[in-house]
Amino acid sequence: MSDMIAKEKEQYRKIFGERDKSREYWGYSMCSLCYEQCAIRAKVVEGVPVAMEGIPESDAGARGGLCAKGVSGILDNLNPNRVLYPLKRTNPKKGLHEDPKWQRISWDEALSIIAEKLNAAKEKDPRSVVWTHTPGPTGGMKCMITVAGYFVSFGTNSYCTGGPGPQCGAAAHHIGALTNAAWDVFPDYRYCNYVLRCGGNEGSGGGRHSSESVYMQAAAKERGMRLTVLDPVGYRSGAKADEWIPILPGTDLAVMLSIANQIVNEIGVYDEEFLRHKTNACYLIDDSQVYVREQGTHKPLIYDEADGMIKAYDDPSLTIPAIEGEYSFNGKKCRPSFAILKEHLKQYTPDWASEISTIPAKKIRQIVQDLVTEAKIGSTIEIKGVKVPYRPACVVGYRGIQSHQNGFHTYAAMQQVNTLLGNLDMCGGLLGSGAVRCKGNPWTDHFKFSPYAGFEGMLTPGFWHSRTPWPPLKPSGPGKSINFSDIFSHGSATRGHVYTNEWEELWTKAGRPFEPEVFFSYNGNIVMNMHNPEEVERFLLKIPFAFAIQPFNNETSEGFCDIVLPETQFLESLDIASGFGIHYCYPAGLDDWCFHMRMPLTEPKGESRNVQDILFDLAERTHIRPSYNTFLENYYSLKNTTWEQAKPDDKKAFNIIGPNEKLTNIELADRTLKYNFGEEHGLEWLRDNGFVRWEKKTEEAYWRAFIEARSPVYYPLLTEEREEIAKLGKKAGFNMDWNHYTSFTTYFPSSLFTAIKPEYDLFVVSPHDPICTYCSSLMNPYIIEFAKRDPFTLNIIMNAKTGKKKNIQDGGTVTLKNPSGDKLTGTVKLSNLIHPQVIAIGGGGGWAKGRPLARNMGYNSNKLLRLNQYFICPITGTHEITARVKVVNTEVSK
Amino acid sequence: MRWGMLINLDKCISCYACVAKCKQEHFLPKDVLWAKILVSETGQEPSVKKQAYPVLCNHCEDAICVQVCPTGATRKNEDGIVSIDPDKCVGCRSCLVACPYQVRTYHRKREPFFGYQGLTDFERIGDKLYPLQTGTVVKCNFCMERVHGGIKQGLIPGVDVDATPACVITCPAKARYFGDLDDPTSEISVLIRKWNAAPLRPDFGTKPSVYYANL
Repeated sequence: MSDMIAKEKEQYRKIFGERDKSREYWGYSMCSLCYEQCAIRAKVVEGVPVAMEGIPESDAGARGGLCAKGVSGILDNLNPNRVLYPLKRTNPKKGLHEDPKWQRISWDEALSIIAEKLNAAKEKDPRSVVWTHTPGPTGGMKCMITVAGYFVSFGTNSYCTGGPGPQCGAAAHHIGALTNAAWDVFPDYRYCNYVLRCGGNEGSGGGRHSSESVYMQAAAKERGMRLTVLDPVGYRSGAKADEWIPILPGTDLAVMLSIANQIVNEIGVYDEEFLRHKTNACYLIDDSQVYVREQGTHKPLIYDEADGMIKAYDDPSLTIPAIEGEYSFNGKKCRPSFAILKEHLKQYTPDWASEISTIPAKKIRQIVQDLVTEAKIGSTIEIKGVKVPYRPACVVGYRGIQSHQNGFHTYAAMQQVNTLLGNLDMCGGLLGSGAVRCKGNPWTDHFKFSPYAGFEGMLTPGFWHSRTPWPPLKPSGPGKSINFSDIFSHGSATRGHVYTNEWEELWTKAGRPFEPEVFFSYNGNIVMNMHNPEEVERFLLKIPFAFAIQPFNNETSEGFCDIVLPETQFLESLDIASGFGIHYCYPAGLDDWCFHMRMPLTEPKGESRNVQDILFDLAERTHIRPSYNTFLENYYSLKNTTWEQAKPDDKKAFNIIGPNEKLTNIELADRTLKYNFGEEHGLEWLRDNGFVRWEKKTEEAYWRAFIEARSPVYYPLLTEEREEIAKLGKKAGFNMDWNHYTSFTTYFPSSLFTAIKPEYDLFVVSPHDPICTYCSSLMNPYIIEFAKRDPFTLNIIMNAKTGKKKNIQDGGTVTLKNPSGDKLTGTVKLSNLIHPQVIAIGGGGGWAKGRPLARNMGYNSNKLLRLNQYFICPITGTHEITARVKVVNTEVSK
Repeated sequence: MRWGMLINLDKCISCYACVAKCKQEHFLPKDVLWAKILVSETGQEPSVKKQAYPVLCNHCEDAICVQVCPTGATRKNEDGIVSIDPDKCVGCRSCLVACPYQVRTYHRKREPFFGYQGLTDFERIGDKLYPLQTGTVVKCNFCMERVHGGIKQGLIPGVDVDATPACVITCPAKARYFGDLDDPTSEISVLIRKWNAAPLRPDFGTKPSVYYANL
């Protein structure tokens, strides 16, 4: 084992040793302290990083700018609480607040114990290994590639994340794949003239694309772009808006449906060409709301206005697909889905939406008018000599709009508005992000991916991680997946059911084909970033063995892990995965291609190792090297990037890593670079030059006009599979509202409004804060200094008038209680920048010995969230992340 | 020649990047900040607005701190930068009281960021690379080491990264501009006129060199 570490160190010194001998140098890398992964350069003096900056010459990040978290990352590197050696728990008792009584052990002993447990679990059933991760503070793209690749190769689909996925972008990623072939969406700030932002703080230092969007939004606003923000709080995105409109949390669906109704039924201005040629608005459906299909081929049908014929969706003679009218096929009446959608939307009036959302109807009407006017439907623009449609207006949102029990319909309704405006991936509109199409780089013609028309002509991403989004897997089970993603096959591969108090009952009804034997956490802190920690504890205590790979201990590892393996902190990491978050946070729109990679700026401290090296070792010890290598080969050569592809095939030629090759992390990175960018652009070249840059083409940035594929305004499989999913769900004891499985975006109030007594009159939200992205942010002394000074970061924010009514004073103490009796007590900041019925809590809290500075810093609002199936979106698994509470105690400030 | 800064409040998102970078650039100890953000709000619904003012030393043309300094430690340089000579400062703190903008700090001693766990290598090397003398008053110096060092290399402050104050280069929103206020054709002078920018509290009468657009 020590030989492996010695080899890794020797290889590190071979590449970076000469540089490290200099008293002072600048090195290139990528930040890892939030989702964005900004390009950075850092100055190192006598082996100590002393300055961090963005890279002005790169389009990855804020063009030389860098946020406070990134700048502060140096102190994370030097944090005396880092895990630097493998640790073994000596306290057999596990649970919240338990002291693990760590004992330092050797790498060999640690990996031997882990491999033994993993092999024993695999023997029983590989799915008995449950895994989770968080893409920060050091995880970055490694969690979705390096780590996920190991576990899918191992054969376990027991992917049970907390904060990421169900509480973050479960609906956005699933629907983003269908509408934009992308993980997320991003306004085309270069050309956009009007953005309606629904929560989320992108542009104001939060969310994904955090720094890039700050730069882009500020520049766009200077250019004249108008920004309207619908948000329960007005001190983040709302503070930079031309107009902040307070909205009651979880009601965006009503507003979006109302906007769509006004566009199609009142104003009557929408992008007909887009609907005809780029969506399934023209697919014919019958009275039972399913596609009318061609006999024999089973293909969906379209009426062609050019010759009055009904044709298969892929008939090459199709010229003018009809989106209105009524037709007859084999004696059955049928209509284009859009014609029925129009009628369906009529029920959603602005007055109705106003009553639900608390936004005045006239404001909603004004928003619609602005969107329709600014979208300039029908216009074109010439970009780099290529004429493309120009739609400079959009609606955008992320966690705030979609993380509700009605997450699927809410996000789909938002995207429906964009679809009607015809702005999806059009110049000035709403782009899939980071990047969706690349026609190859100039040196090798590799690094190619493109969306395409997949099943039934629908848009399918050409680059994806996680399970294949389209078409969804056939619903199956129960019992195939511990998180029930077998039944709920639409949406993410991760769901949070295991952490609910009903999991035992559900799993028993599913037949308990296996029990969880091993729990793995990569850079995660599921105790803090899920819902109530006591509920999370209940599941974690069931698992006999747990281990983690991370640079710091936290509430999860101290409470539940038997072994913790030290990972390099990001300033010491060599991480090829960081360059492959292509559709994650990559320079968007017409920004140039900028390939960066996380490279070490100093030698790894103690015995910390890169996670890739650790997992190569574990792959050997758990006998899955061929599968794991194949996964990495397929991913990094962009042959196939989804999770279904880790199947070794010795006969196939390989480009980067063969099924049985024993490479180190450094070798893998070097080969990946050389394959994708040419022999001359290997690791040493990147070390000296920082990044690879080449010009983005119009056809790549605005690919929609050049790809024949359709986005949904109608989701046929939801209706078609409703009965089957309900049947399978009921078998496992689920009793969800199966009506959500309907093809048209439809109003379903979140269970926030249907399952909780009105006496719990306040809604708790947790807006992204630019300095506290994760609870781990509050481990950093710089960040703590700033957080303490900002009235909106660590306090409980309450509307001033509401506070007055409840006799609560600014600076006083308040205790909030949810219907389950969970209480949270903290200091109140009264403000007019928040909806009268809303409480906002930025985050924080914690008790881990490994995070001493974070103790008593802020409050963890997740404590107020209780989770069961009724607070989970029946389609995408999105959790309702707004809590309802009442004030039970107040104290005047001393 | 008078170096000045312009901050466009419409672009600033109060993200503390400038505060962090300033702290890093000068190896400032725990709880010492040369750049700060003052956060508040004004008005009632529907016209309520968040207020966030990034503040730093204003490098005033008529600097009161220079006038009250009994030892001549605080001085105004030819290029408009107000700086403190730590060897002359006796820590009387007259300037700290006199500064109407309250942007000076008395540096008592370096407290470790991680408390009882001791100083990090960053703090230790900071004491070598950018020693702050205990018992003196400290404040923003417009990153004069960067500015002067950059000029010596033929770089242009406000344009070239290595000649421009750290807070300006790190701002993700590009809300900050740096340049010569005496040159009417400099970008900063043009933008001050274009945006009708003004200093904070001009009624203090000290003629600050830091301007704000959209106050």
